[in-house]
Amino acid sequence: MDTLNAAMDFVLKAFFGAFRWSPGLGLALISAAAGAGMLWVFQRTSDQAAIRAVKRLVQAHLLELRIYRDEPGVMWQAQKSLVASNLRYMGLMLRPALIMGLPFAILLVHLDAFYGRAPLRVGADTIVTMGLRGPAGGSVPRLDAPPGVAVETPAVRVLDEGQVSWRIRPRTAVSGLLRIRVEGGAVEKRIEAGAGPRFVAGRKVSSLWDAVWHPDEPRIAAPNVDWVEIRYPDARVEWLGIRMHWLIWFIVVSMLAALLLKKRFGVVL
Amino acid sequence: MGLGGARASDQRWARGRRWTRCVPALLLLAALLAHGRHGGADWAYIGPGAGFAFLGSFLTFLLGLFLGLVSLLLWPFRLVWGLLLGRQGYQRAKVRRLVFLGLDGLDPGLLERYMAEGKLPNFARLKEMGGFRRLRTTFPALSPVAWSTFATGVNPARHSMFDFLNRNLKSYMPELSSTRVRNPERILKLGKYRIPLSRPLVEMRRKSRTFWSILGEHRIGATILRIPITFPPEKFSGRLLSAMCTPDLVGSQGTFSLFTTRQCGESHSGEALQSGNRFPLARAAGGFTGTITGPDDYMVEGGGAIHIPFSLTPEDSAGGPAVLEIQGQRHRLQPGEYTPWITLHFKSALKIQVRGVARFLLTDCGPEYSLYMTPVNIDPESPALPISHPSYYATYLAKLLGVYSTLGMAEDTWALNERAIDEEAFLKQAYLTYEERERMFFSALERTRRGVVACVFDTTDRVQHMFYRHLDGDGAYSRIIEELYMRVDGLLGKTLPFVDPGTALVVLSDHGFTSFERGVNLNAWLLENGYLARQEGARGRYYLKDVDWSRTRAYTFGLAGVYINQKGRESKGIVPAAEAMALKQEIAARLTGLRDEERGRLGIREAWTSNSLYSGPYLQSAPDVIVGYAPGYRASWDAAVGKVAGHVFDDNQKAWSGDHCVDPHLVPGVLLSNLQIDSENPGIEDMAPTALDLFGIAPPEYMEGKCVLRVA
Repeated sequence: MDTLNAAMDFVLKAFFGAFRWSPGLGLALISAAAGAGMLWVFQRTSDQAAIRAVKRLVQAHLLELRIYRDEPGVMWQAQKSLVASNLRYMGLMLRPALIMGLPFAILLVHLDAFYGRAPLRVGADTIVTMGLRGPAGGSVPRLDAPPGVAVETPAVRVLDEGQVSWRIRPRTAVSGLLRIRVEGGAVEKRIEAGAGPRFVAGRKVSSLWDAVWHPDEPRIAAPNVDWVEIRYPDARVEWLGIRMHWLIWFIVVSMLAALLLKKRFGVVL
Repeated sequence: MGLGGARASDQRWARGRRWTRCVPALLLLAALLAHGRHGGADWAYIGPGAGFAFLGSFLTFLLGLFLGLVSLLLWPFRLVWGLLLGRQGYQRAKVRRLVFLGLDGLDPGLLERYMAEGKLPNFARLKEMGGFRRLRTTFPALSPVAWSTFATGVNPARHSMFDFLNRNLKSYMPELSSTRVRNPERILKLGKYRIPLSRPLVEMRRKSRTFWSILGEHRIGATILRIPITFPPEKFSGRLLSAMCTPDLVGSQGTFSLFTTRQCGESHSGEALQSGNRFPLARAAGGFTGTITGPDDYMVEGGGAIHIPFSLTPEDSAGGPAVLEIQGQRHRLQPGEYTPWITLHFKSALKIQVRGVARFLLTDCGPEYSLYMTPVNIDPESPALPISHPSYYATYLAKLLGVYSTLGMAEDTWALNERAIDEEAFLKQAYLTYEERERMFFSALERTRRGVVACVFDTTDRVQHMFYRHLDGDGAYSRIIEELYMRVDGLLGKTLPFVDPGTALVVLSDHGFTSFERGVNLNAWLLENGYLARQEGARGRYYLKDVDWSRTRAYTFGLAGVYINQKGRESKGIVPAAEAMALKQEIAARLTGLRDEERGRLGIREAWTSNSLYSGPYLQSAPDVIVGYAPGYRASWDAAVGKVAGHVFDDNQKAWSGDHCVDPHLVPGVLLSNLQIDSENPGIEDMAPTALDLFGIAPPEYMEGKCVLRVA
């Protein structure tokens, strides 16, 4: 998993670097490619004949509502058939959706580090939280920040939840490492502050399963620490003069690409 | 921000994140609407397919709900509006539902015979429930005429349908009598391009009013399926799918194509084709290529036909399947098996697309290869011309039940006549059409608790036309007609469960059947007897092209009778109106009892002047003399297309060996009902008044028939 995460990060960082001058365009290209890729998978994993048939039925029942508008009995039947056909349609989509789900989710969580989080604003505070495997008793962990980042509070422990938090405040633009010393070792966590889009790592985790969904940094080696997280503000991607959350761009562009290419792929959606 | 506050915020954030992970649908919507938090939305969206599925289903659900609500809310208003307009609805109706099951050409003689042999238990049962009579047909006994009378309750001089064809009084050229389709009148010319600014003009030439239109005025709904002469569809309060005379995509009444490697002039039977189109199948690497000819490209000045190339690749050396590749789609052709309807996209110069549908059949698969293509039907899912009312009814049926044939005469009798297909292939095609019709009929029955359902099945007519010569023989096809009657008995058997005490079922045919062995070329007779003259040295080509009108007093084309070349009516008429009646009577008298001396048989039983048969405003459009042929005789193929050559009597050598265009007294139709039949001699003109009467509506005075069914 670590190798896969590292490889994906490497490729995406190279791509992101190439489109640093227009992150929106880069995102649009990735989205369009994802749309085409999804069509390719859909073509091979879905029952196209059944989808085509059920879509025709849905359309027929919609027309039926207009054609038999003076016959309440027929309209009621048409409503029932419409719901049944819709459920069947969604059922037919389930298989390809499940097949696509995992790779797609992995791609999206990787992209979130590039487009989803903005670096900390200089002068604005935020919280660093560390989750422990056991109770937060014992010796107090210590947080060392890189130059330009002030640690404003001592470690605050929530014994029941096994968490320790600090409030920090970047004084200047920073791209460095926080270091947390705990019993039995130390944990390093990337911190980004300043302006402009960049790779902003999310939660750093220790378990392999968690690393699937939080792939931005190498896993934590220290035995007692489960995760470390800095809360970053959400980012917005600007393209064609419009600022939106990256996922909305992704959904719109990938669906548009799928819509435009579905005939070429011979796919019914 | 204090640490406590930060923690609470952090926990809320984490909870929100879990929530959004659990309900991807909500997140997708939220993301699309650009509202709310987006954290974790990456879990929500797993590709365009799922996106479309969710969004499409959600919108469909909303739309369905909206349409249902609107209809429900408007229903009381429509009811009150109808009452205010004096529409009586079902208040005085004697039945709740009326079902017309039309079986074109079902012959009473054969029906009685097979019933007596116990082969038609459902017909026998219906006869026991109500009654069975022979149904008087129209003069002439032709489907477009008879079904028009069925629909309107008037004689042909009031609905103006006398034959499939009528003549143009200026040019003498035959025209389709039911419909006229003209190109758009307003066109913007941009260089070589022609942009239509108005729609093509599609005109219904049948006159008078149909009973379903009158019922609709009284808020009694009707579903009219494939009743002949309903193209273009009329607007009324109901649903209608057009039938006979609906053209194919090239504008003809059905032009098949045969793509073949055989040399020109050599078909299966070694004869040249007289009808349909024959195209070469060119040899290419590993197979063959050909080109489908579609409609003309009206968007370009002199654009000519739009073509679609295709390839045919045999899977093995000979006798096996082949792969048809057309517009990027591959279809495996099994010898002797029709493909499903294949959609053909004809693209004009301006990228405007017209869609048609056709079936393909591999008829030769080695060493020579032949591929038959049905006429290109108007695609019911996206009709190029209006073929239903409401316009989306055709689309609805196609989406619900599958694509179906839309051509007026869907069964390709000409392809069998020309031996482009054999008997087996024709039967398969006819029954494929029959099954489509059956699905439509029962779908309408299931959805109609009250009102009218009327559906006509043509298969009974077409199969009898093509297999009558085998009737009572001992060959391979001798039982085809018997099996046909048994099959429609099965159809009736499936219909009877729908007949409850509030339902009237009427099974009828427009005419019966007899054999067609000898053709009578009345133009040859008129020529021999000095009524018609050919131009000097001319051969007497089709469509009356070689007629010398300055010396011609009478002529014929079509199947019904003889026209007088009347002065002041026809553009080159020479017979003064004052003398026309005498001439009609003279010709009618001379044709009555005309004998076929070669065979020693009667060719024509009787001929009548139009005035003696009809009354109404369109009498002038009628053939002046209606000819009642004897059994075994009919207007010859040459006479039907206005050829002035050859002998008066000739053998009919086509597969089309049964007919009904004889003396109408010889070919009555059938009438069966679960209700008592009140008349001993009911006629097809009685059906419209009967339909109105059963719903408590007084038939208009101009209707000539009367109600013939009695509700107990």
